[in-house]
This record gives sequence, C-alpha cells and structure tokens, in this order.
Amino acid sequence: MLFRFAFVTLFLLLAGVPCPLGAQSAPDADGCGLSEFEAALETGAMALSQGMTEALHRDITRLLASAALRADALAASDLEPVCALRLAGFYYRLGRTARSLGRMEEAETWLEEALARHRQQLGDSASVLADILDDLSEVHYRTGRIDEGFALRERAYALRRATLKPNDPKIAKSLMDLGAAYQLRGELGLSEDFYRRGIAILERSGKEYSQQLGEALLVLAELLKASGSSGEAEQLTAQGLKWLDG
Amino acid sequence: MLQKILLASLAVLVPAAVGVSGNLVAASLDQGGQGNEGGEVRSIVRPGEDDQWSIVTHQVMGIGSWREFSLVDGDGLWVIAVVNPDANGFGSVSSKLRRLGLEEGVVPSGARVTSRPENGGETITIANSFAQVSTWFGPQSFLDPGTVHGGLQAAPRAAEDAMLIWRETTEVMGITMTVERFREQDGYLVTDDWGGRRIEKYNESGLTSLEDRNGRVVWITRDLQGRLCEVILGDSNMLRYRYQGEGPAWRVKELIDLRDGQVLRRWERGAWSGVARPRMQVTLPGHGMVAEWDAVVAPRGTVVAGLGGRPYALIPFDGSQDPVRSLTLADVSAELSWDRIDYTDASITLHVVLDAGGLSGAAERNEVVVDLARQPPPTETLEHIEGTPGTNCCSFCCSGGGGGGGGGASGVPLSPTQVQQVNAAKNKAKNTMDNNPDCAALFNGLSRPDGGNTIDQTTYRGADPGDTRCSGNDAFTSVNSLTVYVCDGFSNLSSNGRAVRLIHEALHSAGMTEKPTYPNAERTSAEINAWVKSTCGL
Repeated sequence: MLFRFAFVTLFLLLAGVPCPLGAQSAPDADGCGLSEFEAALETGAMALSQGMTEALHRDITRLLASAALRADALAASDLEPVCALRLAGFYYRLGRTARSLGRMEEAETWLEEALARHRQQLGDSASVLADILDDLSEVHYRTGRIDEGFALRERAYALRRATLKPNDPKIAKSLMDLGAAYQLRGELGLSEDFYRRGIAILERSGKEYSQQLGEALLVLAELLKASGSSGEAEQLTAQGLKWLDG
Repeated sequence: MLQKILLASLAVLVPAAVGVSGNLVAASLDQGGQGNEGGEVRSIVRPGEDDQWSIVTHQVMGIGSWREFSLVDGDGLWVIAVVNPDANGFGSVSSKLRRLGLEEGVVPSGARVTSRPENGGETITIANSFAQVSTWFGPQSFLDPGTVHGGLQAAPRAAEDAMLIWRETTEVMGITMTVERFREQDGYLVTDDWGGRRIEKYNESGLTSLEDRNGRVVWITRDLQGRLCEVILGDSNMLRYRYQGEGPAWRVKELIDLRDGQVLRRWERGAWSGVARPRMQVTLPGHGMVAEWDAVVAPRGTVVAGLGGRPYALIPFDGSQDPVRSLTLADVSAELSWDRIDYTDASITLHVVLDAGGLSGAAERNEVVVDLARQPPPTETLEHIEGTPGTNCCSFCCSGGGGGGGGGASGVPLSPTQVQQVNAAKNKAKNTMDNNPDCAALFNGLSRPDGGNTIDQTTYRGADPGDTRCSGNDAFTSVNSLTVYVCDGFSNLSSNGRAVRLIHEALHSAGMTEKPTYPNAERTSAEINAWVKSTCGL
C-alpha cells in the first residue's frame, strides 16, 4: 500500500509535467533529464512487487508512455556520453517494465534499443549486455519464439563466462536459466546438471544471495521430486526453505 | 416502406433438464437492438405451482422493437402477447397460446392502437380481443435509453431521487399486471402489483445485476471490452463464455452447475473474424433473403434465446420436448411478414403472412407455408479458427487485485524464468501446507481438500501476452480448473508472494469462488490473498 501511495504520488507529479519533454527542457539534478522518470519507474516496480492491480497496470502503462516520449526526445538530441549511457539504461528499464505488464512488443523494441545503445557506449563485451539478452530471451519465450529465446540465453551465458569471474553470481543465474530451459525441453539430465552448477556458485556467494540460493534449491528439489528422487528432494527443500527464511 | 421487424425468440430453461431445483428456472439474454453481442437479461422465469400462473416474462423493447408479455403455468403452458410496433411506435398484437412440445395455437389478432396524453407523458394502448397493453411513457422516458429503446445498453441518467418514468398495464386472458419503472441513481427499480420488485443495476457496459425479493437473480460480468463473461443465474447456474481473440462473438459457452462445478451443457461454434459469420439463410423467391441466423444452432433439445433478433443462447430443456422455434431477423417489405420460422435437422418452414394489416388490423392475412432448404453461407467469407480451445473469460478467479477480463486464450508455455519461479513457489506452498495445519485447513470443505495434491496436479501455463486478465492479476484460473495461467506480473512478486498466489489459485481449483464474479462468495481476490498470507504465515 505504501508503495502504491508513493507511486501514485510520483505519477501525479509527473503527470503535471508538460509532455513530451524535449531535450531542451531544463535538465534535472544529474543533467540528463531522466531522474524523475527513473524514480517513478523504480517506485512502480516496487508497487508491482506487492501485486498487480488494474489501477496499477493502468498507471504504469501511462507512465511508460510518458517515459518513452521523454526517452525518444532525448534520443533525438546530442547527448554527453554519461547521459547517452543513462539513456541506454533507461530504455532497458522501460523494456523490463513493459515486460512486467505483458506488453511484449514494446518490451522488445525498448530492449533492442537498450542493447544497441549499450553496445555503442560500452562495446560488445560488456557484461551488462547479458542482462539485456536475458530479458530479450524472456520476451522471445513469452511470445512463442522458443528457439530464439534459448539462443539468447546461451549468448548471455557465453558473454558472462567471457567477462566475469567463474564464480560470479550472474553466471549462476545463467546456469539456472539454462537449467530451466533444458527442463522445458524435457532434457532433465542436462537441466539437473545446470541447476547443480548454478547452486554450487550461489552457495559460495555470500548471504546477500541467500534468496536466490533458497529458490534455486527449491527448483532443483521440484525437478528431483518429479524424477522420483524424493529423498534428496526433501533435503534440498529443507535447505532451500532455511535459506529463504533466514 | 421497409419495415424492420425484430423478433426475438423465447428462452426457456426447464429445471428438470439440467437437474436444477433452485428457484430460478429460466433466463435469457438479449439486448434488443441489432447485431452486437452483449447482454441484457430479458426473461426471468419462476415456475408457478401446478394450476397457477406465474409471470415469466415482461418485456418492453420499445419503438422499433418488440414487446412481449408471457405467463406460464406449472405445466409449461405459455400465453404470450407479442407486440410488434412499427416505426411510428404503433403496431399489431399477436397473441399465442402455446404449450411447449404439445400444441401451439395462434390467437387471431385484431389490434387497435390508441394514444392519449397523460400526466405530461403519453399513454399508448395496443389491444386485441386477447390482450391489451397500455403503456404510459413519462416526460423523460424517451430520453432514457433503458426505457424506450429497450437495449438497456447504457447506464441510466443519474437521478438523485427515484423518478417514475414508465408504467405499463398488461391484461392477458383476464389477468392483469401493472409494472412501474423508476429511475434511480445507478439503475432502475421495477415493481409490479403482483408483489414483484426488482432492481436493475448498470455500469457503462450495460446491465450488471438484477435482484428481486428472492435475492440476486442475475449477475453479469464482462471483460474490459464489454463482452459477456459470466452470467450467474440464481443460486445454481452460470453461463460462461469464452472468446477467440478480440472479436465480439463467443466461441464456447458453457452452462455450469455452480454447486459442483459440473458443466451441464457446452456449446461451440466456429470462430470467425470480422463481420462475416457462419449463417443459416432463408431465401424467399421474389423477396431475397428474409431470415438468417448462426449456423451452429442445435435444432433439438434446446430453446434458442434471441440476441438482437438472432438466435443466441441455447438453453436446454427437457429433451422430450419438440422443436426449437426460432424467430429471426430480416429486412422485409411492408407487405411481407411472418409469424415464425420452425426448423429441424431436415427442413426449415417459414410461416409467411402476406399483406399484413399493421395499424388497422383489418387487412387480410394470408398465411403461406414455404418449405425451404438450408443455404450454407459463402465459405470465402468465413475464417474458421480451429483447435485452440479458449479459456474462460471472466469465469476466472485471480490472485492480485481481482477483476478484469479479456479474450479467450489457451496460454503459452512458461518461460525459463517462470519455470523457476513457479516451481520454487509450488515447493514452498506445499511445504507450508504440510507444516501448518491451519494453512492446509483452508481447503477443508472444498471439492479437492488436499491443497498440496491440488498444486501437484495443476498445469501451469504462461498467460498469453497482452491477456487483459493480467491487467489486474498476477495469475488466474477458473473455479474447479486444474490449469493456472501465470501473468508477467508474477515475476515481480517476492518468494512468499508467489507462494500465496499459488495457494490462492489452488483454492479456486478446489472449488472456492470469489467475489465479485460469484456474488455469494465469501471473499474478494485481495481478501483471499490476505487470508492465505495471514493463515499460512507467508
């Protein structure tokens, strides 16, 4: 409820801003003109974590429209590198938010834009590209393009392997995602292998990843239960719940 | 002069046919007007005791449309007065005496129409030797779409106090009933001098509920496009609609016994796109096509409820009853009309009246019976969509803010992210129920009392992207369904939040209903979430 209130307040504030705001508008505190929309999208994401409602869906959809106008206005102007990178990140946020709302076409457009702009600013080997590829993969899966989605997940994994340390939790995320992708394909042996490798990394990743570890253990437990290995599944479940509750 | 005659068929639901012993035994949906599917509850049938008459239908469809007043006895004898006003608001009365499946007779009519000013409005009386309908239209009634034009499509104009806008006294076979209609803040109050009283409520999409002294008779939910989703009839029945994509036409309709979730009847029809629909057509030499209706109309075992002049709802009655009568819509010339069209599997019979009298009632009536073959619609205008059963429209229950609605869909496979989130949530939900008896007890008394087993048996699918049901929800399902659709918003939830949603949906799979879709349900969607969260400690 608090998030919802905060979001509505912020949204109303933004709604009062003449729209669209061009690049010639007064820059905000960081000089890029994106802060207020970034804050609103962040608040919206927090509100969504409390559960979807029609009002929230409507408000965030409207916010997305305003935010996209701002982004496009900025995109049409000459930007300092720092703002260009911010804008790339802003498109990524737009894409993720659109995906949360089930607006896959817009999500794909904005994620592709984010991918291109990040590449432009950071080159082809930036690990952040893997995050965007993950989200693009999700859009592909959700719209029935499963092979393309799988390929994007593999690209994200390869990019992380190439740019991050072997035990980086982001690599664990890729491993878990690929495990799920193989599970969807019915290749349960491969799926289990990827899950176990991802869990092994998360187990060494510290307390801040306890939620991810807990969930990963439950995911593997469900897979094993379905495969008939109920003994280990119960153990993993107990461990997973402990991490989640801890 | 072309005269557009809108005739709609009757809707009858005999309780024995569907094993229903509740109060309500019949209802039909219609909207008057033309074409668009939507819904107005038109007929409410409450059976009388043996040898007693009950009012089954009292309808005012207004100028350019038709009116009907019907009585029924406990043995299914119908007396029906049908008024077919012409474009000027006048017309003829035809009255029928019908015993369903046994006999039918048309009582000769000699309509006389009078009009006089009264109390700032106008009273129009249409009568013959059999029936008389006298209607007073208040000064503002003509401005009121719900009163005059019969479609009841729009919310009534707001009024702070109840205002009498219409009164009608109908006399059939010496039995008289007077009905008054008051406009109120959010609907209409309709009372009659037989002790009847009903409240019709509306929103911007149309009728939402109809209550009488016995409680809520009809409850209608629509999706965001205004399409019918569920029509709950009395305590025990529900018509549920599924759609294909965004089109207005339903694809699957089910009659469900709410007490055990059983689908009593299920109808499918070919889906179509655009305005081209599969039709049965009747062509009369010299007059062209005079009648048409949707092709998928079972000729036996049902009664066809009209919609905009076309057969619409197929409502079952005792299979021993004889034929379906379907009165249909067509543009015909003034000198051509008909009483009815009967059809069976083998033939269509059109009862044609030539040179019908209209205003004076003195014109000679010549009845001609023409047997016609069915004419299939041109196939190139149709786009059948096969093999993708739609999900229920608003008959779902949702975990999230609740409400919403949308087109039918079969969902898509889960994505890798969703697979992980759903599996982790399943595991957590099941373990919570295993270790918390209060949480497990949420399922007590439901058709599937083992919540963990229900979750294990459930198929989880991704909701179609853009499914409007996800506009207000993180997941949704239908009551008693073992398929749960996961929305993209599900990913935003916390681990506990996802487990709560899965238990919530499992409760629906086990038979729990939810307000407002099910008005008699105990909780709304948000209340169920809060209940699960607090009971299960999630």
